[in-house]
Amino acid sequence: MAQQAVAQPTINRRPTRIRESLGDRIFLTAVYALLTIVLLIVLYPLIFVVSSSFSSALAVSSGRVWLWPVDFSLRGYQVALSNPQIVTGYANSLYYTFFGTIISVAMTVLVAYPLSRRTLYGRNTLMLFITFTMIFSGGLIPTYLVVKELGMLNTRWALLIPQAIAAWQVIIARTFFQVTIPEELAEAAELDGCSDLRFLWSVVIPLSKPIIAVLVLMYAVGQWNAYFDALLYLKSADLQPLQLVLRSILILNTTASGSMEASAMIERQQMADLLKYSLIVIASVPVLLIYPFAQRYFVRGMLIGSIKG
Amino acid sequence: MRMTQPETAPASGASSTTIAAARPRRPGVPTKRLSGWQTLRRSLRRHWQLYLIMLPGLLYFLIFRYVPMANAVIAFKNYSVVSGIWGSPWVGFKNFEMFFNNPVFWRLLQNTLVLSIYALVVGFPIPILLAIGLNEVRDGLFKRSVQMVTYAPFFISTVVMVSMLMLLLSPRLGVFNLGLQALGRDQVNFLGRPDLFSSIYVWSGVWQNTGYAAIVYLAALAGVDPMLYEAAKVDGASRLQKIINIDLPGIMPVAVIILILNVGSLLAIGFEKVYLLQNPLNLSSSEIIATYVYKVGLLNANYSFATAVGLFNSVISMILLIAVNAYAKRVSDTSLW
Amino acid sequence: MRKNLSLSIALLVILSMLLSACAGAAPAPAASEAAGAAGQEAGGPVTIRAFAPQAPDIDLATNSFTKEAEEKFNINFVWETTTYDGNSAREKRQISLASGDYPDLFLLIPWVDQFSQLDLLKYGQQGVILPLNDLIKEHGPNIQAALDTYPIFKAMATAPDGNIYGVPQLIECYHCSYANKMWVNTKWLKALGLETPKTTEEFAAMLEAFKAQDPNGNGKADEVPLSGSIEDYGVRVIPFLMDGFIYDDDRDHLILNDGKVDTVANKPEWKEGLAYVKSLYDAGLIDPGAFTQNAEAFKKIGDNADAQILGAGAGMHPAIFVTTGDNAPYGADYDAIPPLQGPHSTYATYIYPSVPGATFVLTNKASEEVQIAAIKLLDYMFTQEGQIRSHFGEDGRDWRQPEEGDVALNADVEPILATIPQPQGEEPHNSNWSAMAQYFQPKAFRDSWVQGTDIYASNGYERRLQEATDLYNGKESADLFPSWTMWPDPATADALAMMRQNITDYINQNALQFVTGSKDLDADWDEYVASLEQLDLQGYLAAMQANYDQSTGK
Repeated sequence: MAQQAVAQPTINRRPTRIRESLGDRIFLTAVYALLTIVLLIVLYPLIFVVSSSFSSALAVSSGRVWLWPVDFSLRGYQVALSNPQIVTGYANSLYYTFFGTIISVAMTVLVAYPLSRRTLYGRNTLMLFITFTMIFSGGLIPTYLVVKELGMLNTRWALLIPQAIAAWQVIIARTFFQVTIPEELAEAAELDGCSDLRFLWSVVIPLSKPIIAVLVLMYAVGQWNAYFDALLYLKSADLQPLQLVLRSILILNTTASGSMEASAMIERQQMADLLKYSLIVIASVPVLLIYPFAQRYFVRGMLIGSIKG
Repeated sequence: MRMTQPETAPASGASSTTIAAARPRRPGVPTKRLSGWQTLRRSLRRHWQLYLIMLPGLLYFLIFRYVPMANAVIAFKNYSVVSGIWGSPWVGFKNFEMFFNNPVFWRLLQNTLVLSIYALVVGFPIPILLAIGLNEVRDGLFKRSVQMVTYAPFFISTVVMVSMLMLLLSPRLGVFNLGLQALGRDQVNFLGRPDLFSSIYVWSGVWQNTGYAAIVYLAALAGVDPMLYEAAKVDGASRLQKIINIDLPGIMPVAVIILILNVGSLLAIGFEKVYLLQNPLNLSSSEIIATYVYKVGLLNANYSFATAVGLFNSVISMILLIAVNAYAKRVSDTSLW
Repeated sequence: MRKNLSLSIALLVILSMLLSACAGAAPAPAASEAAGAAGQEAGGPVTIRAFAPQAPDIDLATNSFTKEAEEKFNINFVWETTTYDGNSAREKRQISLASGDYPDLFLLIPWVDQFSQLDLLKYGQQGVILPLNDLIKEHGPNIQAALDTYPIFKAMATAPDGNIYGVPQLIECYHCSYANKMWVNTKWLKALGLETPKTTEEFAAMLEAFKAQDPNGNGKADEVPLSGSIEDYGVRVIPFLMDGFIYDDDRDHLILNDGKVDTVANKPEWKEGLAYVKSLYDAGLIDPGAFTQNAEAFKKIGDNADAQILGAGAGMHPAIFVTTGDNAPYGADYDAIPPLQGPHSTYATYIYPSVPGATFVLTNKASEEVQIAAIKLLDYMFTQEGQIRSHFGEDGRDWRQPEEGDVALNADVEPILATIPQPQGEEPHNSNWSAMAQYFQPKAFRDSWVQGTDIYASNGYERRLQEATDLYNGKESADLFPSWTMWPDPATADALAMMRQNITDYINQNALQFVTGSKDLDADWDEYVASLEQLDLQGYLAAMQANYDQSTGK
């Protein structure tokens, strides 16, 4: 059981240097070696994507690009960034991601924390109530009808509200709260006359930065990658998020079955060849940029500072 | 409120668990069994603020999840727009029968299960291993790079992912076959081998998702009490022992919950990646329920049929979830409810 | 605990049932309310809500053809757009229809997403979409003329009940109609002193030479004699080869035997054809990737930078597997060869180039004014002038009148127009509806477009395809199964779709298993034929027969 709420000030001192045993050093070396291999394996395709995005389309399709850019070219980026739909989509996606994440994280914490309290009557029933929705879903049309009835069609709300809370995230957050916030702490606070809300605000949230970072990251990523709701609920092109625009360029048209003629097909193929990799890079930058911010909270013992009043 | 509360700060060196156990029981704890209503009333009076803040979230689930759910009756109906969901004629189990009596049904189910169980068995522990490995590494450029790089593939779209995979596995020009060639071995048409399909699917998924999935465990490890490590160090525990005795128990509750949820979503494999990797040679192991429904059901806009299949998936998933949850509760006292 | 749990579930279910009962009642579309919805004052423009796919380089709202059409037909368009992602577009269209929240008009693109025949029948019978027969008679003389002149177009547009629920595009794309062409590296042929192969044996010998005689001259046996891929557009290698044995339509493997629908896939000729393909495969002449890779991987072989390695490629046109155009190193090396003379036949696989279904559909939300305005616009696109304006764009900017020395695609025909390629880096013109307007392009019209005379240059590409297709023209089987003139029966369509999926999958899968050797043609053939029967082949053929008989009016 983790009980960092009761951490000692001494923890913040540099740990006493005890010489590592031989076994530990071998173990650590193995860990480093393994991670290095993992790093290289995962890195190579990524470098390939980035290099391809800076190469000419012919250089990519003829296999001349394998590590560094060949026939250095910025045309993919130029074409992408001069396309008004991509630019509007980018701005929209940033908007949806920012506000969507705030709404989602807030609502998730507000549901998950009470569910983590063992003294809350009905918590198991409510957990079942929430878990049930992960497995049974009403399907597209009925959900669409609800969104329509609420007057959200073709408004920005349609992308912020109908997917606001993910049951998965609620369950994970509630598990974290259960582990990191001992029931005894809450009870003691209650004895002190501290209300549930106040306790949530001044104790639970500061103590839960890692899980909040996880929630922010996952909701932001989810919002950023989402396209299906936009497709269903939005009708005007100027509300569309980036992913919807990207898909129309990158997707393979599986239904085509021969009715697309050569000229149209070549045009689309060239567009896809040209933009494929640069669009991945452009579209991934924001979600990659937020990672280091979240990363700060994934460091061992980082919570100590936050609870030292 | 200040965090330094005298009551909760234990004497130095003492384990907090003992303190917690020694603390007097809080007032209001029922000493004898109360009826459901009484407990609810007490709980409401005591935690009214908590119930209040849950309300928006619970309403959300009710409106956006439960209201549409009742319309799953489509599965039993011959759905028509004009008559609406409730006005469409009932066809009972015709849609289910059509699905079960299909000669390929059992193969679809088998393929779906093989893919999803394989994906679970491999995809569940690897992010944990990555997180623990990263946790051993000192914070610095290397650690941050590994974290960032393993997280990045998550953002490569399925279409691009599959086309890169096809190039890597190409029998003529693919990296793997060039390697085999250099070793003097025969080339292998990886994507044409039904027996290799599940491995291709699962391991490319590992490449794409492990870094992202590890985030939750990294966060869980960040919450482990550093005092425990200090104590272990003093005891002369090796790194491996610390992992087994401190890290693993620290992430166990989260891991168990994720495992339960993963088992519950076992049948919910998305169709897109499988569909794009399919070809006539591997079809005997790559045709799953989702791709088949996509090709047959949705293409003809047969909502009743598609919903029937979805409902079938859900019922199986629910049974699995309840079973695993009950089991987890027995053996690890972590559970959903 | 357990009791409480089940109690609460029961409560929840009841609650959600109640709530959804209100929501569920909503979707029934009220046809009556729609009529007045357009709400125009006398003389003001007619507002049309239109659902349309929008390409990244087109903005329908500000498009210059939209503006012109709005002015000409007194329309005010309100667009509901989807993208060119076909799956998503279909989903969105289906949901708009299923939820009752659909617009007045659908303007679609066949290769993105269009109404299938089943959609038309289903929604037509529900009254959601309107039959257009009377509108066309009264306000669409040019559409009517097209229906009268082109019997297949008429068969495609007219449902079995006689109603025209939607209008498909009439595109007689010549090179698309013979998709399964074989493109051979003629540079290699010359280098090795070979003749263009005419028979299946000569073709095998040519591939053998490609493999053994190092035509790219780099001293390595790195040549890929024949490759292809697994998608559409004629890239599968088997149909071209099989056509020397028995007619392979590359889709359903169906044929007519004296008016009886039959499959080719259990015939001795099919088995013989497979044995031939297998002999090529066993000799290492067919790239194993041809059976598993997508077009991109195929193209990687065609474009391979170190050395040219591709000998022959299957495909509707060469740009699928090799970069063509003015700077491409290998783009000019591949030429089509005519269908091969096999032991039994010399067929070319044919398909009618327009896809059954409909791209222009009016719903019951359209008021009479909307209906008339929309059909008049469609009628305009069925005139040559309107077709050029809507599909190509502005005169002098996107296309020009022919000049002295211009040669039409069909050199015997008077040229009508020449397209002006958009200079690199210029803003998209946003001046036409592109593929969305492609309604009336019979072969005679397409033949009259100006093309460059160098068939290997970018501006002569269509001519290259035209000349290649001439080699295949007319060589289809007289007994082919004309699936494009048929309408499915909604009552049996679901069961039929599953049978069709099961059977075609089984045939394609086994064809490749026989070829690659995971099944033995001698030992496993009988079992294969028996399994086809177990998948209810007879039921399938009977259902197809019923469709066919109904379409021929028997």
